[in-house]
Amino acid sequence: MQSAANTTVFAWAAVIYFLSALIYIAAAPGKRENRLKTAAYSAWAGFALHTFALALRWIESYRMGIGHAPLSNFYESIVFLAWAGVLFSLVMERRSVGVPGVFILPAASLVMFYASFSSGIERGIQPLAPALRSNWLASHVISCLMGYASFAVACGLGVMLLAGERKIRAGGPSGKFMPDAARLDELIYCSLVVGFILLSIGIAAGSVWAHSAWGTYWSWDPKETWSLITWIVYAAALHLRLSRGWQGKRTAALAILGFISVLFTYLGVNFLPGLHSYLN
Amino acid sequence: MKPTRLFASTRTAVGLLALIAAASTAGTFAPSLDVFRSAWFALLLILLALNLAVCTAQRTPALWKGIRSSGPSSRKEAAGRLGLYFIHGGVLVIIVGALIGAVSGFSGEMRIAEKESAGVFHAAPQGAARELGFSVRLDRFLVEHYSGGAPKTFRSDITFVRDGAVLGGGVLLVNHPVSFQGLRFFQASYGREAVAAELTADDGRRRAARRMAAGDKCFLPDGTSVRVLRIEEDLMRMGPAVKLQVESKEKEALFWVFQRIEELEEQYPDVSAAHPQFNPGLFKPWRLRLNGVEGRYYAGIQVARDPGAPWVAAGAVLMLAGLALLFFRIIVNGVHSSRSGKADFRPL
Repeated sequence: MQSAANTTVFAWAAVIYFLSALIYIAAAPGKRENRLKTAAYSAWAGFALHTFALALRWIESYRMGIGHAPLSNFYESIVFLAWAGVLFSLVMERRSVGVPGVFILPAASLVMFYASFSSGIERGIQPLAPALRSNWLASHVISCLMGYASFAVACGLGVMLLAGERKIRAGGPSGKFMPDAARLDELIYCSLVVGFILLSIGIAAGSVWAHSAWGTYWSWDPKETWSLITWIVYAAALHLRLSRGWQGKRTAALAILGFISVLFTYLGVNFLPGLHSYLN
Repeated sequence: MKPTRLFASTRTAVGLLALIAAASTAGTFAPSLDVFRSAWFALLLILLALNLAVCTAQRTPALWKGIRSSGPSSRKEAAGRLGLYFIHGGVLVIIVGALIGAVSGFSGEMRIAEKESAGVFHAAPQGAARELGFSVRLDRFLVEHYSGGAPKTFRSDITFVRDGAVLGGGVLLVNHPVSFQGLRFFQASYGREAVAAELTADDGRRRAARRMAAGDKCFLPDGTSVRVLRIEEDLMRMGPAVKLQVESKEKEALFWVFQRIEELEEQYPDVSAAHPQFNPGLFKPWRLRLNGVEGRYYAGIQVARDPGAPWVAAGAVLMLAGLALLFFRIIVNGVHSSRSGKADFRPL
């Protein structure tokens, strides 16, 4: 497969994310407004380039005569995941300046560097296998991956909340770096609800698709089962919060636990046999 | 504690969810446990359904009160409550549908070769055959490839026949099933199978040629028998091959005959000497030759009946509608009360 222009643009988006991550980290202590603004602008620039690369890859696939949305292999999925994460970060910035970007942009740039330069990843555009040629591919993959991105954001915010609490207990200058716990708690809750809704839509879309492709809406394939386990973990987290008043550190811990389950659903099950394994 | 109170408690709900998650985890790591078709897993789902039913029933009066009362804030509250009501009701309907499907649904596979018919399917790969009540004829099978050679899509043109009368038919594509008499047919897989081999035998003086299917037996002019055990269109990427059992009164030999034997001998010199089972001249004085293999496509067709599926679909729609209401209640209206220290959104 020839090296295509879109992968170069993705790599440049990784570079810009890296730069804005540096600015975020430099701006975070003391919450310097001007630097945070610069960081957000550069994140927007990277996001625009990233979006352009996605569109370019889609167009290039049509030029190759095997046109399909760039959502079908591992490279395309992690690149889309980073895109969704940055999108959530930029949306949240409107409510809570500087908070999510400090960790999402470094994470996004890491993921994009890994996607662009790791030797183990197939970056070419491949033709779709017969079973993947469905209108449900886009809705299923987009909602699942956006759900995963939202859960990743919740997990990162949860780590920030726990780290902040520890600093407060140690008597350190937490106020300078960490946003207040109530704000973080609110953002974690929003991310969990959005992720839960997106995951539910993704599972439902996948079931409709499976019903027409494999003859059954649910076949207890490892990926399906793990998506259900993840869904249950978050359902339990939301119940504990809504009717038992779990908040703050407890919600943060559940957000981290849930994301471990997400990671297993996304990557771990590829090592178990099943219909969804696309790593090999 | 009253039984309904116990069942309606969040502690019970979260406990049941944790048990189902733990059982599912065990099911993915140890497929041999067969968790998902076990009675105790169904029992967990039934208990969760009971929990949901009691919760939902308890919520109904408050919901009606909320909907009847006016005022923008209580209407927002009611939207959130209605959302939760739909979500829990939806999950309940999904579980009911899944149980209906588990009790009265079935699925299985059938393999039909081109131009052939089949009237039975197998629920498990080695399981007993079950009657369809009619037969499915595969009139035509087509595979479309990308320019690079990978398969793009495949289709089966099928006809439903009973007692020689055509009842219906359809085109089966991947992702496009066909329904017939409450059953749904899906294009699951395909493959090729060898049907017959063109063989010649030569001892330097005499020559015999035959077209043989697997299992066929023929006799050479000196009384030696040749039986075809297997026919392969492509054996280990070395092209067409047949496995033969050649027998006379004095001796017997079992060996493979490749169509492209000259090519293979060039590529791997001494292959016939080192591996007698690949030597077409093993049974002297006869030397056997494979001139061609005739193959055809077969379609792997999945057949399923699931009376629970419409329930599951209705439950999913209900649940997604509830999630949409909750989304507007929480995200669009904001999480206002979180700073007061109380749980920011109480379902009841």
